[in-house]
Amino acid sequence: MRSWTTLFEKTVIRSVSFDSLPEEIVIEILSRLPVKSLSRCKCLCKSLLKLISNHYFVQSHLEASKYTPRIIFTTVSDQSKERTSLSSLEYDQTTSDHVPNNYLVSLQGELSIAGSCNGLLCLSEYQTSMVLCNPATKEYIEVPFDIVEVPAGYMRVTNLGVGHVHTDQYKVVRIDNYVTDPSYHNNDIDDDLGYYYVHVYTLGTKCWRRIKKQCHSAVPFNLPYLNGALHWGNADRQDPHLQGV
Amino acid sequence: MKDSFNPSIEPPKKTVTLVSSDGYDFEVEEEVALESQVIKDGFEDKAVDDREYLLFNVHSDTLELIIKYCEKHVSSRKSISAAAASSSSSNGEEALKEWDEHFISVDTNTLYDILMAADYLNIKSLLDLAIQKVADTIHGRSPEQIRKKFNIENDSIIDPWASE
Repeated sequence: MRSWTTLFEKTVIRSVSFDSLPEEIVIEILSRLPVKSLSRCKCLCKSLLKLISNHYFVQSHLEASKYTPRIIFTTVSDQSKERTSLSSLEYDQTTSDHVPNNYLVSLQGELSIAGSCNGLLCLSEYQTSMVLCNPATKEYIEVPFDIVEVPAGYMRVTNLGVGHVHTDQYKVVRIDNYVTDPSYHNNDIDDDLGYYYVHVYTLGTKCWRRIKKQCHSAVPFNLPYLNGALHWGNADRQDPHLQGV
Repeated sequence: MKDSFNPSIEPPKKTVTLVSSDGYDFEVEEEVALESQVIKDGFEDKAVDDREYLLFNVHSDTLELIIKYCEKHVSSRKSISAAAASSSSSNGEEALKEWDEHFISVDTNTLYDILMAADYLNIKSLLDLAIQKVADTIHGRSPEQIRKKFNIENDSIIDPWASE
C-alpha cells in the first residue's frame, strides 16, 4: 500500500514548471517558435539557454523550419552605405508593398550574401573579409581574408561558397582568381587564363587553409552547395570537370 | 453494402478500464483507449478479460480530459468518413479544429498535465495540439510575461548575447 500513498502525495503537489517537462517536449515546443521568440527564450533561464545552444536542438529546429521557408535579404543603408541589414520574408508572402523594417541583424560594411547553408549565411564585400552570420541567434563573426598582393598584370576576383560537411562542421571555400588585366597586357591574353588559389575556412578554427596551388584556368563565379559538397567548374578547355570539397 | 445490413443490431461495445494515479477507474470503449499508441502497442497480446491499464502518471482530473478528447476524435473521424462516403459536404474537420482549440484553452497547470499525459500515453494528435498551444502562448510575449505564465524562475545572470 505504500506505493499508493506516495502516488497520492505526488499528485497533490502541483508545482509544475517548464523545467519539469521532458527535454524532448521542450525541444519540440522551441523548434516551433519563430526566430524572434526563440531569441527571447534564450534569456528566460539557464536551462533554456543551454538547450537552445545545444546541437540536438539546432538540428531539430532546422528540421522544423524546413516547413516554413523564409526568404532572407540584405538592405544597405541609403546614404553612408556603411551598414548592411538582414531581414526576412515569409516564402509565400507575395506582395512587395510590405517590406519589414524589423531587422534581424545589422552588420558593418556594404555586404552581399555570398552563400548560405542550413540558415548560416556567408556575407562579404569580396575584398578583404567575410562575415558568417546565423540570423536565428543573431550571432556573427567577421573573418578576414589572408590575401596576398596581386601580381602586376593581374586582377583578383574572389568567389565564396559555404557548405556543411558530415563531421558537422561548416566550411567556407574561397577561391581567389587571378585573371589577366586586359589594360596591362596588349597581346596574347587569350593564352593566359590566369590561376587561382583555393582556401578553406572551417568554422571554429579561425584560420584559412590553402588546399590547392595555382591552376592555369579560371573558375566560374559561384560555388553551389549540393549533396554535401561545394562544386565548381574547372574551365580548362581540354578538361572541363567538376570538383568538390 | 456491408454496413447497411441491419445497423440497429450491434454487438455490445468492448471496453477497457483505465485506472488513474489516484485510484479511479474509467471504463472506456476499446477504440477510444486505442487512440493511445502505448495502449495500442501490444493490445492484441493482452487477454480480453485483462484489459485494465494502471496509468501511474495520469491524475483522474487529467484522465477525464484525455478521455473526452479521445471520444470526440473517434466520433468525429467516423462522421467525417461517413460524410465522405456519401459524398455529402461536411465541415467536420473545421468543426473538430474549433473544438480542439476550445478544448486546449486551459490554465497553464492543466496544459502541462495534458502535455505530460499525452506524452506518456503517446497520443500524437493531442501532444501536437498541446505543444502548439504552448508555442503559441510563448510567441509574441516578453520574457517576463513568459516567465510568469509558465512558472519559469529567472536564473540567468548573464547577458545571453554576450555568451558564445
